[in-house]
Amino acid sequence: MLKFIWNSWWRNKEKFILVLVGVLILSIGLSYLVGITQANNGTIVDELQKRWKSSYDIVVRPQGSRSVTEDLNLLEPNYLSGLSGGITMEQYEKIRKMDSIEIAAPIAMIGFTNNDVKLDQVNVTIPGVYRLKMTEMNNNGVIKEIDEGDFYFTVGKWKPSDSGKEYGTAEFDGSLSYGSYLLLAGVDPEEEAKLVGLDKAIIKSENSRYFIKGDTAEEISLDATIKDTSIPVIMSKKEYADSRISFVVEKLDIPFQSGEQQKSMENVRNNGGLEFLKKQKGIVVEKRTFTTSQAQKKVVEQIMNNQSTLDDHSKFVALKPSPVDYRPIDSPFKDRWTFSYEITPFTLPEDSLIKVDQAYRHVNMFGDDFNSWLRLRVDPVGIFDPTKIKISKDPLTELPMETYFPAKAQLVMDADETPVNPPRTMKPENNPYGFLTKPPTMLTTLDAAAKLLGDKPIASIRIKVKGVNQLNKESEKLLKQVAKEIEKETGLITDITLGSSPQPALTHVPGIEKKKSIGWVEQPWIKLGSSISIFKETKVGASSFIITVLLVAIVYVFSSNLIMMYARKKEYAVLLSLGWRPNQLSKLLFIESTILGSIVSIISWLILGYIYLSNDIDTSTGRILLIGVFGLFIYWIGTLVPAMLVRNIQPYESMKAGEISKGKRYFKSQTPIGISNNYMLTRWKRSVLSILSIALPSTMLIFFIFVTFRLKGVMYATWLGQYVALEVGPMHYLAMGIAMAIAILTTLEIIWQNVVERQPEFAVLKALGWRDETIRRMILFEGGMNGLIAGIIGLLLALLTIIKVYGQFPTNEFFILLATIIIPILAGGIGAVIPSIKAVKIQPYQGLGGGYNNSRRAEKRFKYVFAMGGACLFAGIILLLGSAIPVTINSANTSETADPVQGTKGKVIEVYKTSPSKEKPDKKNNNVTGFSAYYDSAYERITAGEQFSMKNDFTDEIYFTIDIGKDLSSKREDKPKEGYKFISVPFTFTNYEEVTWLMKPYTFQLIDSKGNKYNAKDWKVIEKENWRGLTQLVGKGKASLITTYEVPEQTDNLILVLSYTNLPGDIVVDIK
Amino acid sequence: MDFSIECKNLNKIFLGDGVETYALKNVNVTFNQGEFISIVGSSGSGKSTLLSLLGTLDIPSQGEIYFGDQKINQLKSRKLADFRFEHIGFIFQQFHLLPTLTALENVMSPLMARKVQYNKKERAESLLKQMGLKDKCNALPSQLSGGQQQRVAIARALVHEPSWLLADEPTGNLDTETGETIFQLLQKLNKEKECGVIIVTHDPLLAERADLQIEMKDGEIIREHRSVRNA
Repeated sequence: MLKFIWNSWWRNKEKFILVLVGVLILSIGLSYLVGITQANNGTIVDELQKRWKSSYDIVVRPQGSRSVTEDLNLLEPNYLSGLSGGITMEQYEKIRKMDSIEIAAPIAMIGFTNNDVKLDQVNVTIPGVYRLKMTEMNNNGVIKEIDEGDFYFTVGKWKPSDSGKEYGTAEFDGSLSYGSYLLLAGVDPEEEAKLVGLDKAIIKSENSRYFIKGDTAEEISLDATIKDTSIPVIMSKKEYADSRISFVVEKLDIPFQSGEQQKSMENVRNNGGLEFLKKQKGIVVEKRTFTTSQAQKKVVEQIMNNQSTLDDHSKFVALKPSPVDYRPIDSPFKDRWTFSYEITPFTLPEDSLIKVDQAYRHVNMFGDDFNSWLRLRVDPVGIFDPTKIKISKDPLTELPMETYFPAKAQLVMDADETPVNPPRTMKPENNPYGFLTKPPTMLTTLDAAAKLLGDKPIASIRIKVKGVNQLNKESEKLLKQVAKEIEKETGLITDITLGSSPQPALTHVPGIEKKKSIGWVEQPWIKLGSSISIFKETKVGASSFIITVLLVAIVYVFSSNLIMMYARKKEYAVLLSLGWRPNQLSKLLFIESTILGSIVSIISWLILGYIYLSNDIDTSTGRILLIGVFGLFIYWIGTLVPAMLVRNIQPYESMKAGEISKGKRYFKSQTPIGISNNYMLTRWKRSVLSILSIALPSTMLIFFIFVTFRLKGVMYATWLGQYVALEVGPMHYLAMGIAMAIAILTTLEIIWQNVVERQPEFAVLKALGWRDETIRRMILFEGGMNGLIAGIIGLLLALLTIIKVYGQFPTNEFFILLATIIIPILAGGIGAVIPSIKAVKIQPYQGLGGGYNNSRRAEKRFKYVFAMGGACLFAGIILLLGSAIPVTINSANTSETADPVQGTKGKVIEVYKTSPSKEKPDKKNNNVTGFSAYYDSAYERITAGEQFSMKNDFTDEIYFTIDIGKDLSSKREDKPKEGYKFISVPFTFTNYEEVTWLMKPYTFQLIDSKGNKYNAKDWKVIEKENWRGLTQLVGKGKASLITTYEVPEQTDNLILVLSYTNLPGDIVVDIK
Repeated sequence: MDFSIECKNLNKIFLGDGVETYALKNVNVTFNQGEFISIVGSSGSGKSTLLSLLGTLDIPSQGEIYFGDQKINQLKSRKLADFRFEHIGFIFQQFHLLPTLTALENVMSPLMARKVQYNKKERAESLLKQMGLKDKCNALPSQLSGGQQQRVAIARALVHEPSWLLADEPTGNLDTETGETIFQLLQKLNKEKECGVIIVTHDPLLAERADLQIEMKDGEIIREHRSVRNA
């Protein structure tokens, strides 16, 4: 039997070569895949040890400026921009005079002002009532926020007798200006020049220079009490906020010819003034759009031309910079981000002048009314280019420690913790209290800052110590010594920044102002101290393409066997009529596939053995065995169906002479294409095989192309609870190349068989005068058609995958993806080339001959093809060896894992609620009692007068306790509002451990049975020990305070909800 | 053992596009052991269908075929294969030699998957020698002439010493002279090996030389004639 098999292979060389090529491709594919899986092994742990060379060694800050994040030695990026004062000039002088100090560069963050500049003039002359619509769009890189406003003015002789308020109109001189918020900071010109070379970053020109000795702040008295301070400033050339405003002037449909003006306006007034005007329709007269960059450019241009209008009028500085209030929470993906924080948004008091209710930073104003704001006259002396500042520019981390650049932030997951692909880079907002703020872009002198801010102007001092250049033991010792000295001399706090390293941390940006949460932002935080930061990334993707290649391989073997079976149907029928048993035919097929599968296994073993031996990689024997079984497995699976089908062959088929293929008509067969289509439909099962084998790799390929183009090669996803990266590289394309090669082979075999079966048909057609070219085209068309259908299926599947995984339709890339349909069409076409040659070679006289004739020429040609194929395969192997190995070595070296790092813990809050009056009553809570929802979700429920204690469940060791007093009567001097009463709740927090517990009594809300929420009116601290900033107990300690709420008089049933970020639920206290 | 073949009320119906076509209609015939039988008829008369039923290559739609006392049309495919192996040797119009096997291997092919008492190769070689193809043992079918190929096919049909040789137009693809040689060979085998021969042919001259001549038309036997000469 073996001899019979061998003969049937060897004496039918064309076919045999195809079989061998298939075997080779499969073996290489297999060994390649195993190489990949070995290299990836599920997870790659990349350990990156990287330190920054920051421009300063020590940073000095005032007492109390530490944030919670520093408990874990973490500093938020650009932490310096959020500090406001606290260090006196004397303290600074003291530090500067120390012997060991080389540079002490103070920075005094003053506050936010704007650079509004006139950009254009509206030229409306026709008398009328006009509306000026202003639409501002702020782009933070993730969301484009729209802010709209309008304003009415008149053109014509008519003027209101006074302000015109009752008419709803105002005066308008037609000038359109725009600008953004700038952070103004004071620096010591000399020290800053030494530290970062600020003087060298000045754009030199006639009207632009660095600060000189004579640049001082001067006071300009406007009247007895009001005075402006004129300060010298240098301005940054760069604008970081991406906002635009559009001005639209509309003429309202109100008669305004001379004579009827007075009458019309009286009519406006009588109908409600502004409200009336708002309802009027208008016709657009003029339209202008400006960006913050245009405004900044204009400002720079004016300064450079000595035409600056900045000092023409007083500028108010009302807003002080402030830091983000972070709160540690559980990282959703601990393996990827050890540290995760959530922003605790700031809720503005109701009487605040600022129109928003919530902000991401504490709104910190110079005073509640404009009299206490700073009044400035800005005297620009120069323009600086922040990119020319002498600080090491590391593109990887973008230096979150330096002062002159905005912090880098990328949105990596949306609110539902679904990865964002590609991660979106966030931009600083044109909002002083947004999440990402701008770095200082307007600088003045330290003296000017002192004049403006008074006592303690300096927010931080960046220190460079003499003789410290590198991070080593000596310099560390020296720095520690200097830091200690500074602390001792000045009482300020110091941190050594030399040797700090980047630490990616994840920040949850909750929703404020009733909006949805933006999601999760990754930022490079600063890890203080010489630690190693760890990036972990789990890579997946191997499994998806391994399965694809395996499937394609099985389809190939299946079709190959099936085709073989069809081709030899008559032969089998003859064998049956000679007395062979049907199961002997099945056996024959299985022996064949076993031989081929074994060859695949052996070649795979050889290739892998070579890779492993030459690279000294350890691998388990089980794995090696598995690879062998794989080859056999593919061939056996692929043989199952043909082996069953072969039993259905009837011996009488041997009697059929010169049978012309059975066929049904689906199309009109009046053209070659019609004939082809009919044939393909008749043999649709085969066509499906060929289509399937091309469609599978096409799907993956299109998906990979999408990832490469749209996502720059990496797609993030969540997989089995992990945040993983699917990185598409050359290997993936190679794998799909292999799969595609197998698919081409499958198509080749199928079309080959189609040609063989139609040999008489072609002979007849040729005898009837068909040209070779027509037949060639017909066969190529069949291949291309298979490819096209496969391509369409592949494209649809890929689009579905993209929509499923990526969450949106790839509109932008659609045409690129559509274009990739060429690949499957080509694959189908290539598969049809050899069969088409065969079809062309059919001679009319072969009409009824059939059978196999192996001419010498054909044999020669196939030897040539075989040699070519071999060369390609060899090149493929070399490529594999070249690319597979580095990855493998990489994985071998990175198997050690760093010590587990203590991460952050806490609960996520999606949307922070604002004040109670604006809260819509929650419908869910309006059931029988309004409290059930709170009770259901409560972590613990107690009654006033009881104690809540947090303890270790196993050892009963108490972590902290909260005692709620029973006496709620307030002994206050002031009276509640009419119809209201005070409820004063005494709290006592006790911390028994040397850890910091967050305690924020002001976040606790009273809730009545109707679901109305009441925020604390005020609170009084009775007793405190290690209590810091009304937010936390630092180490063992205790704090007692009385929080007072104002509730309507009739309210008697109340609960107090203690939202506790470290607990899985709230503590609910029943209050009678 | 009785090796005669008896057909009782044999019908073969083909279904094609909803129309029933009778390839064989009520065929009742008996072939005695060792007889030389010819079946003649025009194309589509059902002669090849009858042959394939006799050779168990196909099964009748209705009716029975007895081989001696054994009813063979109800055997399982495996038993049928064994029956064919033991009792039937087939010769086709197109020879149907396996193109990838040499002449010798083709002759041995029915034995490939079987255990037999004798030496397969010797048996095959001696048969080829009898056919006058001693020097063509290692030739591939494509290297042989039509007559040679048919002789290899006959050798293949004889290799397991069947009780019946069934030949479907064995001379149809050959020129008259070669055809005559093949026919004589079959006659000789019929006498020497005592195996029955059923031959389907177009050629009335050849048909007349058989012991029993059967003429068919439209699936029915219209004439059964026992030759006087050989009686």
